[in-house]
Amino acid sequence: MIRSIDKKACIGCKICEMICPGDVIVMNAESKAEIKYAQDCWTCFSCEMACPVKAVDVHPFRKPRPMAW
Amino acid sequence: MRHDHRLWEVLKSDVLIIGGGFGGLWSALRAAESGAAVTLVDKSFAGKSGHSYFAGGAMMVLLPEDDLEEYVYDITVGNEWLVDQELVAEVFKGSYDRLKDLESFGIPFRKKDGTYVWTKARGTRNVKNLWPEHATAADEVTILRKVALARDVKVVDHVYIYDLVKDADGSIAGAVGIGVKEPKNYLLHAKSVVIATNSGGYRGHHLACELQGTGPFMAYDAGARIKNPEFHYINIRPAKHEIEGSGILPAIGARWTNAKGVHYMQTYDPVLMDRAPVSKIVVAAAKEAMKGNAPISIDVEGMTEEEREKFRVLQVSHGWMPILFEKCRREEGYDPLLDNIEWQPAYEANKLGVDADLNCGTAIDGLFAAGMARPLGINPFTGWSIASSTWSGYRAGESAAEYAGGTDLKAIDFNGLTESAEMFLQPLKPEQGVDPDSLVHEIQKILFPVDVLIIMSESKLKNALDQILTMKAERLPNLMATDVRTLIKAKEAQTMMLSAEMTLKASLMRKETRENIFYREDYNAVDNKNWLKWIFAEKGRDGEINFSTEDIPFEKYPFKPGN
Repeated sequence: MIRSIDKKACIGCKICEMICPGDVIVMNAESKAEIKYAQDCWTCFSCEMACPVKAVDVHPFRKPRPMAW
Repeated sequence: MRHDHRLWEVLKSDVLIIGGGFGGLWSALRAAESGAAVTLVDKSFAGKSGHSYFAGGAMMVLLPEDDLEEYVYDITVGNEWLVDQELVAEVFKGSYDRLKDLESFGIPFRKKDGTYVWTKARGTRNVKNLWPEHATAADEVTILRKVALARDVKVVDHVYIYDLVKDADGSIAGAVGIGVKEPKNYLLHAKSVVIATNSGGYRGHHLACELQGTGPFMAYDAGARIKNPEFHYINIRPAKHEIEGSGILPAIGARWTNAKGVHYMQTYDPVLMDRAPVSKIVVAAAKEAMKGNAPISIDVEGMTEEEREKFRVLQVSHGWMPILFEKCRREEGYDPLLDNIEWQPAYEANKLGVDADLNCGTAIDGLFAAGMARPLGINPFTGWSIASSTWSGYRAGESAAEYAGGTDLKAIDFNGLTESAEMFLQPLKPEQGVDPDSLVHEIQKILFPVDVLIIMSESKLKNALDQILTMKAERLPNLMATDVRTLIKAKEAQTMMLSAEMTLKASLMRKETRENIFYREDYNAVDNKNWLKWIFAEKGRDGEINFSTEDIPFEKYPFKPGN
């Protein structure tokens, strides 16, 4: 699940906001990318891979969900 | 909420394609090439969303020197005879041409000394999987998007389609949707429509977190038939982290192990052992757990360094896998290739789809279906998904363009649209109600336990169905949304409820076991006398699900059970 976006590093290019399949990221009033709906993150790492300044960090933890046992 | 459903943004085209994965993008490419004006719409960002993004990249291909009959036989047997053999042949007949298309788009496949490098598809004797060089499936769909744009396909991102539109005669007229990022109503007015939205699921795990089934169930609501509602793709995943490798690790030396350290797969499949088909591995893990032998892990400690290196090259060399492995090492203190971790079965996708013919046409005039939104067999062989989605996308695009060439845009009944929008917007009305996420969580709690859809029995299926029907009566009508985001989640929750009811009822019908794809503990043998049949579901006039069966037409197929 997405963990953090470094606001100081973010250059406001909107790429992560545009490509995020779960629509997790929004642009805030200062035109910086901000995590708004972390619980809807797909853990696909698209934002982390696409960020030109490496400001995004996604953690490989799975979301809690009912298990088989 | 500032959302006026009387205002429509209208986009017109010859062919509308819903979904931006392999099926949808291939449809768009082919329809555009056939001369149609094409619009492709995706709920996220076409080429970076959906199930295709997560695919491994392997594609089954019939090379010119290969024998088509051998390929058809292997896939038929792997599907326990429950597959359309004519469809399988069609998938392979075009596969080499599509490979050449991909290469012309700038996606080269691995070669050595001028010939393609291939691996034998797991569970087959002869079928070849080819691997893209320096690319994941995610890169492939991203490139397909670029080719589509170059062919003047109008790509509309971030619009969620929630209903199909028909004219007074019942022919397709388009679809309606809502902007995900801005609350705007869309009418996508088209002469023909291709549904390429994948099938559905219950957000079972990471690779399947977006699968909820709106596409096929929109078609069901509009009068199309659903085929194969009793089958699922249940995968096996690490219990804590989103790591890949269940397919390939055991294929190159790792072994499934229980809590007592026993490599148990030899008991369940003495021939293939750890390389058995995934559903067999899932059933074996489930039986071990039910005997008290959990946790289950993949024993990687006994792998050789050479085997580990092979895995790194095939799976951890590109895309998001290197990031993931690095973070497990750095932050969680383990290496998935050196340390044994717990794995558990996890629901991936259902295998149902909109019943469609070899031209990808459905029961609705002008509606076509491609990719996993249509039935493409039941066994989730590595490499089959991309091959069959590619074929069906290409074929659906061609058929939809041809259909559009012979018809005009149909008249739109705007009163009907308003009705459709009002139904979709209904969850905005209550001030108190059921949160869609919590409803989905309840569905997961009912369906995911090992003894419901993995080790099936009449008593457990009925018990799960009772719980689903109670939820349908008591909680579903009170779904509540507060904005577009939760509104979409409400529609998805409604779809998953319908899907759960359908699948449990259909699973109760099939009173037999198909070793590699369907396991009933109370009917644990194959029944070729009564069950060489497909199950179909249609919406009845009373709104209830009507089921029917059809004999598989072996009289026109090359292979029959027992020969």
